[in-house]
Amino acid sequence: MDTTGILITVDYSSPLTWVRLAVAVFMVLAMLAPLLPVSKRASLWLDAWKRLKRNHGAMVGYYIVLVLCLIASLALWISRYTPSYQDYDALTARSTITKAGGGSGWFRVPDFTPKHWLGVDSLGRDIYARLVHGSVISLEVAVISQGVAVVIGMFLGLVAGYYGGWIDALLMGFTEIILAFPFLLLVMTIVAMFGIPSIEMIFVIIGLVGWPSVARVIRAQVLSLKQKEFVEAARALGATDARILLQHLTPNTLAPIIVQVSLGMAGAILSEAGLSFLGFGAQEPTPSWGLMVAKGQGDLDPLWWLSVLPGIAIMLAVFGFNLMGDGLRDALDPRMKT
Amino acid sequence: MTGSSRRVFFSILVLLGFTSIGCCVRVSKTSDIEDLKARLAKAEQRADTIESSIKVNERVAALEARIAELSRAGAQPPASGQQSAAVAVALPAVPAQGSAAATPIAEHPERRGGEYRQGIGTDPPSLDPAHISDTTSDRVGLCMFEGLVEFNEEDLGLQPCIAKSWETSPDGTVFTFKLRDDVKFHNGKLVTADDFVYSFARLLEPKTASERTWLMEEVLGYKPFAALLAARGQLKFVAEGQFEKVEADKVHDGLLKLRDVKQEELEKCGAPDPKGLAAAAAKALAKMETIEKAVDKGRAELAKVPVEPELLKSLENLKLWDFISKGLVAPDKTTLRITLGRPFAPFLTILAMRNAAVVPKEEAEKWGDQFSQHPVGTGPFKFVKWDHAVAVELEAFDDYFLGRPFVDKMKFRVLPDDVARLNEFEIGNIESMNEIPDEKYEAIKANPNFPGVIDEMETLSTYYIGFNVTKKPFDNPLIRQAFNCATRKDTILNVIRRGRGSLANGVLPPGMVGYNKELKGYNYDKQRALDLLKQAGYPDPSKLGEIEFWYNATSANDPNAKLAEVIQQNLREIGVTTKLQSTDWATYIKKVDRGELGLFRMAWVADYPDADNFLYILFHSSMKGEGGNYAFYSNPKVDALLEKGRRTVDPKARVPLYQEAEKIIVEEAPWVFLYHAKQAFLHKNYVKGVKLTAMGPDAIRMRTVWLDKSMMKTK
Amino acid sequence: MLNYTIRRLLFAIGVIWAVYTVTFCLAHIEVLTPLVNTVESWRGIPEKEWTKLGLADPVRLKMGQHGDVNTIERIREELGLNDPLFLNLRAFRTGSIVSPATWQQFFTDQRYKTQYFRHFCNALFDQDLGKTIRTREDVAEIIWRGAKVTVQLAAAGIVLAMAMGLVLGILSAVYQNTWIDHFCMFWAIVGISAPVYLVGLMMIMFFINWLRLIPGLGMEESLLPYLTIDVPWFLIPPGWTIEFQLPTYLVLPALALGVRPGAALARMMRTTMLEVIRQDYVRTARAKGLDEFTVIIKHAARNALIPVVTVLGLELAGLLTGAILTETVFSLPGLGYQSWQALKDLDFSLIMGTVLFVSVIYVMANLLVDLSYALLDPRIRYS
Repeated sequence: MDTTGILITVDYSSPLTWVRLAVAVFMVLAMLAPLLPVSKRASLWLDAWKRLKRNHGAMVGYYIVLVLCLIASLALWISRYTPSYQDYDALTARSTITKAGGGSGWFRVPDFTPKHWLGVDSLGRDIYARLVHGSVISLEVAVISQGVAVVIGMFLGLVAGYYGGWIDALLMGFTEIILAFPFLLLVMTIVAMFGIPSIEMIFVIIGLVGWPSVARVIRAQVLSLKQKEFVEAARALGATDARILLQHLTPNTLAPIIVQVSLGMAGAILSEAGLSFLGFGAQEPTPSWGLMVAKGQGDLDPLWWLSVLPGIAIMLAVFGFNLMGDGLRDALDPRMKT
Repeated sequence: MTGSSRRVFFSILVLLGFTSIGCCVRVSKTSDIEDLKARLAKAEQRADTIESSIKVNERVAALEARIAELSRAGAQPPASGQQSAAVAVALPAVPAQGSAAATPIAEHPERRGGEYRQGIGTDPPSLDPAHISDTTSDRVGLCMFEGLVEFNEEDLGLQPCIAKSWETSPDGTVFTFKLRDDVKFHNGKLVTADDFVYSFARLLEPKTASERTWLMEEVLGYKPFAALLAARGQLKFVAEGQFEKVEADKVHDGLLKLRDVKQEELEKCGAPDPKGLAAAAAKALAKMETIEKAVDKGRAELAKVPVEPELLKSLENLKLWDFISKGLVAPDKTTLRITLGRPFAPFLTILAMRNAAVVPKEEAEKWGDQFSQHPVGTGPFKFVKWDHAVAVELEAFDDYFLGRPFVDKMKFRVLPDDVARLNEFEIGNIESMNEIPDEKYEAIKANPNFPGVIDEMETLSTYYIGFNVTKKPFDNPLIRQAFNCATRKDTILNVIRRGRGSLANGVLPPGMVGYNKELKGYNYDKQRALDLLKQAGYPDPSKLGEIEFWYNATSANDPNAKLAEVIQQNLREIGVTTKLQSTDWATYIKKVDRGELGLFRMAWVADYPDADNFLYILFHSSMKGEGGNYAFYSNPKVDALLEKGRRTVDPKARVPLYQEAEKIIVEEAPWVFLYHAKQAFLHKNYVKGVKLTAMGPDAIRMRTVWLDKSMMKTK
Repeated sequence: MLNYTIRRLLFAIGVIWAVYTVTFCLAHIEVLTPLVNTVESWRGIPEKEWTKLGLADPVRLKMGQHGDVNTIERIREELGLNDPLFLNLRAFRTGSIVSPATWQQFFTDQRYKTQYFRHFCNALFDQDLGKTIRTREDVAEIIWRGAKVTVQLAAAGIVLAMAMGLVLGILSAVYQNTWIDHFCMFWAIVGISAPVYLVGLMMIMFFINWLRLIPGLGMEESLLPYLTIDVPWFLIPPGWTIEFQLPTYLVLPALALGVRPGAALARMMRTTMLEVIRQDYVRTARAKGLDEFTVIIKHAARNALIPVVTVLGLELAGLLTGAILTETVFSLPGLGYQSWQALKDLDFSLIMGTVLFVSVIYVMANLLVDLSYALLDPRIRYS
């Protein structure tokens, strides 16, 4: 039987494959990290790490995120079928839906089979494979959109906070304008007006709309840091503005950025899923979780797991990032502890 | 400080609380017996649907007691069923060309009454006949609007409706209609020929901005008017410096139209100052030619083109009526004469479309573009209320000229979600719905206890995969043929449509006049596909490279996605790799219009049952792009045949013309011809009098439908 | 305070104007055409093939599959879509630049013959947001219709969220670090992480499909179960009835919508409660011998509410965004559903209307929160 396009074949000559494997190894190492003893030296980051380790919630979040990354990097190895392969046999094998049109149904035992662990969707595609490959999309959106947001937000936040005056007023006015739009509606409008772009562009658009919160956090941090002695000292030594900004201020804004980013990642995953759910994000046959929920909506009555499983996947991922973000905030800035 | 904050906070809380409670309580006057009865009906209905609603039953009892009390007090409810036979008026004379007259609704008092609720998928975009361009609006519009003629339900031939009879001149350009004199609008006014003249002119009037101008385009005098208007638009862009809006194809199109404007024609249609207009047209033509050249060189060149204000001024006062006053004439109250510029065979058929319905002049003028919100027509049901995005309500029109319809109330409920709609049907909150999700179809069929009946009918539609024949590698007919042979049409039909439909050999669907039974299409033949590819110079099909297959998928549960995946699998079998690309309809149609897509899916459903509606629109070279010819197919021979078919009056003489054109088209294979679909109409078993036609379930006439109360569940 | 109020008000008006302009540019993406043309000329694409930006033309979409360039052009002309977007320089092409008549003509042209100023002035002076392209309905009317639904939904959602948030927050603060606290906070963070549509779909599954407690989706009067409440007869004028209609169509959506802000409120409430409980006056109240319930509810919780008001203001944006998803899941014809439809149909006058309306509400709510804050805390006014 010709299995091209049905079973996943891994191309070991591609460097991307080895990158994936390397990421996976790194994730395993990161999982083992909490078991290692922490050196007795006191430093900001080591203390934070110790506090993080003591926080059970944060550790749960940490492991959820790591497992997610591991699944995403090993997606090619742990799923058998390609996410777009349609198994018509599995569709026909699914016993005829007894209650048509829904309504009179009750809990139906999901038809999970050894061949398709989590069953197939209404097109006969393997849900397990789609879930696994969907994790890649979710992590991509988290990383790319927050990357874009941090780059823009950091630049504008640093400049606005450091220079103050009319630059600050202008930039913060701009931030205010972006914040005055409901986030999802703005992204949807951009997406609709430009024509629904590729999934990567959607990651970027989410980032482009999401930077104001980063900018605000950094500006606030810079405003308080700017008065500190070490900045005065650097200035007295004749350091240029660029040097002060990059060498002295940027490292000190890292802690709030990390917190902001990990919470922002949760938001980005939710946004992408929401967009895809509404039809303004990923398009078929991309295995995006939000799209899978939307797709399963039609079969909710008897085949409830078609939309509930990817929905739970979204929830778990967001849950992990939220927990980790909360934990990081507690660990990095004990004063903000809630 | 805290005190004031607390006050703010609690006042917000109280406000929110009141808002939400305020939404729940309603105070109403209930001494009116009719109102009570309506609510009783509602309560009973609810008791039907919600099994465990004891409260509701209590309520029913209370309401019944109240009604009894009030009736004793003397407020007698109007006795139903006593309305006499104002219905069965004498049959109209059999018309000159119609096959049979529209039959009056028979006298059946026992069929009277009831509320008929249908589920529709979207809020109808418009209920104004000039703007109806989608099936949902058409379905609602069908209950309210009627025109001169209509399709009969047996073979989709024409039968008279408001027209009593008609005559066609031998050259096929002059149509004289005799109208009935007993047809009333919902506002009580009698329909006259003037109303028809107004309604048709309204379609053409630029102010109406109608999407369906093409219905009346051939009316004498409209073409020169449109040409001058189009030229004025482009000249204005140049004059105002909006160069980015000037596009080569628009200019070219305007140019071609302008060339046809001759002084004789202007004289014939009675335009004022034909000489001056012809001169202006000539000047505009010269200017347009300059503009076309400038656009070719680059839009910046347009700045150098001077547009004289005098020229614009001479085109400023174009009035539609000046041009078409001889095309649309009402000699007396019951006679209507329509003159076309040249013969146009499908014209009579087109008059049966909803867009050619009659509307009362004073109402349409009063409401302007808001007429859609206050529609008034002549149909069996009249408009009551449009609760946007929730429901459209109609009620029986007592003075309907064929007699009052059986059903008292007609309600179209907007239920956007397919499954929710089916759910509502099953519970019994709607009497019928049109589209059944493919996945649910089999389950419904298999379930003997399903509370509904499925009626199916093959409709005049063709589903296809288009090639852009101007794009590589699809400019080679051999490759197109090979793709045709490689497609497993039966799999597509069976897997996606669950076998609902028939395989397509050519363009025209069965049931259409001109359908060619002998036509040999392409059957699945892998070897032949490979051979054809070899002939085309691709012994190794993978050399074709990765081919993009485009489809549109609006909802996540779209059958188009399934189609795409099957096609991908089929092409993989002959060694061609495809990449699936999907987008929403808006982007998709733009890409298709512009000819950006090489391989794409599409479907065409008949607007009116005539071969012209398929072949001319889909394959005539003048229809490239937006017009409907998405394959950008162009063949002078086919063009000539189709043009001739349009201008030939004798219906029998037209058939061979279309069959020949279709044969050439199938040979050249600008499409992969897939299937003709069957459409389903799902209704309760107590719904009677439904006649399904090949125009699909949206075209079911509601005037003869009735509800069999003996079969309705009563509690 | 007055000074501060005026400053904030002016700023808010400026923001709204900017939002309006940004929305206009987004809706009329053609404003970018010159830019794209330039880029394409750099890329060496022949001018004939320059793409016209923007998604499909909504007028084209109205035509179905059988369009016609000329008719499209004519409809566009009639709807005023062919007018220049921002500047109409027609007056200067024929008139002289020093003549006042030319300038007068120029300003009249801006007011009536450019899309931006025409729409802006109509919206400002006549509260007329134009008509939809697809259905020629009044946009303001559509928005009003949708807003009624969304306000009901949001109000019910906030009430539920507050009930949930306050109870969970107070409980977990009072029983800090016990299993009750952990339990409440676990559910709070789950509530923050769960997408609205998952909650909505699961509710549909349980309550509509399985338990059949609620007859169906959508909002139609005939589906509403009535509850009669016994109002004493002497309170009702003769011939009238008062009935209590339980809007079941709102119950599930409001619950689904309320989960997220409710969870956020719970977390906020817990934090502030923990701070307040350690205050001296609470200790004093306890020392006075008041029972624990009175102390917590009357003294502590009331004072912990102040910061919660801010969260409420901030969650309003979340509610409006959530409303898009909730209304789509439950097929409620509110603002969110309308804007989703408008975006699908590319009906840009409706898109502009809804985005503008929602943004104005949001900016105004923020303004009110800021002002009430400034009222409560004078330090803010001077920062």
